[in-house]
Amino acid sequence: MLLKLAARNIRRSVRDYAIYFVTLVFGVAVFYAFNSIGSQKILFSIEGADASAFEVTQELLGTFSVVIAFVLGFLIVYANRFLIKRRKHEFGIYLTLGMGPGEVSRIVLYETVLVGLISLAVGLVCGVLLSQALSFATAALFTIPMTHYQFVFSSTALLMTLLCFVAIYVVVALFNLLTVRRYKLIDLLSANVRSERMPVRNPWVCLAAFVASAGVLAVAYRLLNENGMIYLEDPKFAWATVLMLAGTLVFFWSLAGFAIAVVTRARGAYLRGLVPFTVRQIASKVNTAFVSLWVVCVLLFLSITTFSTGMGLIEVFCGGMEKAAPYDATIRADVYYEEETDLVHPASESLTARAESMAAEHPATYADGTAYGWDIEAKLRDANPAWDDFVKESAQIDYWEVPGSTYAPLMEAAADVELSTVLNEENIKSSNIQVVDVSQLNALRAMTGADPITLADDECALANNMDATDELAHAFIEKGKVASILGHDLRIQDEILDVQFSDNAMTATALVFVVPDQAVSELRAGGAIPMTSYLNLTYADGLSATEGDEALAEGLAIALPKGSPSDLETSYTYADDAYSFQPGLWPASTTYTKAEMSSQADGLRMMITYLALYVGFIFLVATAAILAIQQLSEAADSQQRYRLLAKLGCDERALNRSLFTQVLVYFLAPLALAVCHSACAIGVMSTTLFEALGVPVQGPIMMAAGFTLVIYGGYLLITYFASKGIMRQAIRG
Amino acid sequence: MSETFATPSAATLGSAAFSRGNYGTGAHASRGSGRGVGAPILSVHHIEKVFGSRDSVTHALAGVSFDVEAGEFVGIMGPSGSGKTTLLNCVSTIDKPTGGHILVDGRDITGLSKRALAKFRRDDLGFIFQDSNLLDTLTGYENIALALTIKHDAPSSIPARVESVARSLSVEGVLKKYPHQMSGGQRQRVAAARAIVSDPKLVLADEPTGALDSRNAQIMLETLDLMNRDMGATIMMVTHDAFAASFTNRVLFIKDGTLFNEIRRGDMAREQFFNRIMEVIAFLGGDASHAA
Repeated sequence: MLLKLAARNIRRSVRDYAIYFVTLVFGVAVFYAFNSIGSQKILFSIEGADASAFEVTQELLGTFSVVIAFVLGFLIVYANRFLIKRRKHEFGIYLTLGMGPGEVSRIVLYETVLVGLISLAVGLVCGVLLSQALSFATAALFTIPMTHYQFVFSSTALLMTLLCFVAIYVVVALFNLLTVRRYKLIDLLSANVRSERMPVRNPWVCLAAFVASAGVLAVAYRLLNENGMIYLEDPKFAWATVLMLAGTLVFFWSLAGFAIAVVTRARGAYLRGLVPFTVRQIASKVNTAFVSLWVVCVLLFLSITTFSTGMGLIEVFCGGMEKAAPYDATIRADVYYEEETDLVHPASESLTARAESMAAEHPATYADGTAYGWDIEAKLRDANPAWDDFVKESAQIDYWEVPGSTYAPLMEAAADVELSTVLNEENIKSSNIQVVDVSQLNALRAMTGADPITLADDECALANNMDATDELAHAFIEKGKVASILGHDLRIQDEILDVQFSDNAMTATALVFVVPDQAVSELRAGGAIPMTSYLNLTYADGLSATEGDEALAEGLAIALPKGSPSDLETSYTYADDAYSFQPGLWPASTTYTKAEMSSQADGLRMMITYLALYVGFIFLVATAAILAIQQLSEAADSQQRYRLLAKLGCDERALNRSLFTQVLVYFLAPLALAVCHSACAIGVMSTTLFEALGVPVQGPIMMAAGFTLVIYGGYLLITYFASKGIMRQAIRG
Repeated sequence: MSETFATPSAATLGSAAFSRGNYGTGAHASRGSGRGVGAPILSVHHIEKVFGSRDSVTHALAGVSFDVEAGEFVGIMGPSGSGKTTLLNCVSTIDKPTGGHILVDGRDITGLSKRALAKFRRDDLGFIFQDSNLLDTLTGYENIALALTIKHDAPSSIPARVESVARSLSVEGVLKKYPHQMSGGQRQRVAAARAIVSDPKLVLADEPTGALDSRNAQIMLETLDLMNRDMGATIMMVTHDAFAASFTNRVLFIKDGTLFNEIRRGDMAREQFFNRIMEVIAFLGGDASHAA
């Protein structure tokens, strides 16, 4: 009996519930789909490193799902509270008819459970379908060939979704029970006689507050601009965040009062048709709901910013893979590093300081290295005679530090260059100049089919391919003109060398000088050891990238002695993940392979894309749903007003226009401010990060705009049409 | 026509009773009260309103006819369920009669389209409801101005007219207030100002004192009287309160959907008129409030 009543209640208030229900379904569907990404890997013929991309993505999305679950939980509790509050009068009637409070609670409980079950079921079906679509999107986005399509169903995702939403519904049910139990009959019955008490705010206070909020936001924008959004632990960033939040809140608190004060002064524009009515309707809603508008604005800001910068970050991390990893593989030898992990490497005056420390701390490796003249391949070939079976060509690059020479004089010559925020001026100034000898460079160029360069004895060349240091490199050449190396002033050649010295995740050659061999010979002769060495390889003909990677791993395993894991010098462990192995010092600390790099990039691209879509979508839907529910209830509360206006002779078209304006302004107000905030944040990031790294962000911004337009605009239209239905019912009913 | 049921005294009414000054609007050509002197502003011809299905038919109105002359203040009385509210709804075009015709200033409004009806209501009618029905989100000023803005009157002409009406009805003090900041009487007078500010041909008042205490009711009725006498408004008021009705020039009594009786005030004093109304009510069978 109570169940029947509950079911009928839901059917009767379908319009009230519709948006709530659709949002729940969206929530469930998206939650399932994104959590099922891990299961999609069976569709693709991928091995090793590529498969881990799916796992990492899955893990990250899983972590974020906790945040998402909280957002959805908040949304559901909020929407539900709204719907329940609207039905006070109905509950009052149940109670007067002699129903016990327990029974009323049970009706509400049944309703919650029914809506929950149906939305879960529908949402899961949609989610399973959505996840199939995601598989194709994955294939297209990351150009992974889909070997054999099959229907994918993820029981883990199902379980997660069920767990999460059941938990949310339990909270909602408890919340409802509590709310209903607290009601007193007298309040319930008089609930319909709402005394509309508009918070009347002093217009002058509003005006002052509005101006103040604009000022606070301007300060926040400036702080953010100064901070550059690179160093997030900088107090400026914290202040910018706090001021932005506070400014936004005050903005919405004072917005309506300010707008009224301005608009009513303009009598010519104000006293026209339904303008006064429309303006007052919006103002009263904004005044009473300024806190939710604030929350909505902040969420929208996060959503838009996450989406656009997320997509931009993909380019930062994954763009230009070809250029960043031009060789089949690179073996890096750290040679020696001081134990302390201070970022600022102290400038060295002594040629032999590092060699002496290494000889003292790691005598065996030091002896080995000097015996081979730090030639990595010679050492490996000796240790593994099969070396040339899988290696066709190789070229070693040694980075040397020049004692007594720092970048400071060149930096001073280039003082008028505005440094990208990713760079630290003091760090560069205090660093020793890094050099590579020209023979090694030419050997590397030969491997990639480039012509050798020639240097006179009094010349050097500057190698740079990192966007952040590009301007500095030009300034060094044009203004610095000479580099002082071991007491010789070498003229810097006019052309910047665009060369990648090793495989990497991004183009990473920054302000390295290529010098005549003579200079490096002097360093060697003086007893110095290389900073870092890279051996770049081309695999033997007939080996695929994967086969080559495997051969290299085996080859290194044979060549290098198995040491105890605690012995950094000797233990070399090849792992799936290049970052998870135990580093040795020489001849091999770590390997980077082209295949690894590109699969890491793909994984990262997939992860960020999905994360941005997931977070962006949920936040957007949540905010749009909050606004929609508020506007619908506003329309219901205004039925009396529309009826009166119709009686006074307003035709329906004028009322429709007024309603549309109300919905539009209510949706656009938080969006407009959020777009301002996002424009600021994205603008700052694009000057400090994206431009510095040469990444275009227009594409992602357009995508974010389109995405917002479709979802937000969709909710706006649905809200308008549903409100119109409510209004028409009021006029004709 | 409607004189069929007129009490003897009604016949004694002379046209002199309606010789009013033509202040305010100046829109109305004829102020005469006799049949045939000038065109009536409102002419109701045999209107019928039938509710219900084929099986159970209720005649809310069963052929009511009467005229209202320009400048008249007419009261409509009748017991609950007599059809007086249906009549008002038909005249105000909120409801459509199932038969008969209603002419306002010579134009038949029963056949108009929905949009034309809306235009008719905002251009030719003024409304005063029982519960003032001001828009709670708008100030007093804006509520009065609304009647003009929805007609798309020139914005520059609006402030002067709103202020002038507000002064006449003594609500200039609450123009900046919201309805919830006003007293019930003030709200009702603001509603009256809204009804008359646009110079409507006919003001329809539905129990305008129903929600007021007796002191505020009296002030409201005096306001209506002032609107009628000094501002030339033609008013049709539905009430079941004999005291309220005694402020009008003529009272039509409706019972069971038909016009039962009609009495005119003539040059009677208000107390006298009140007593006449009470007599008819007693004859009708009570159900009217005796509050005074």
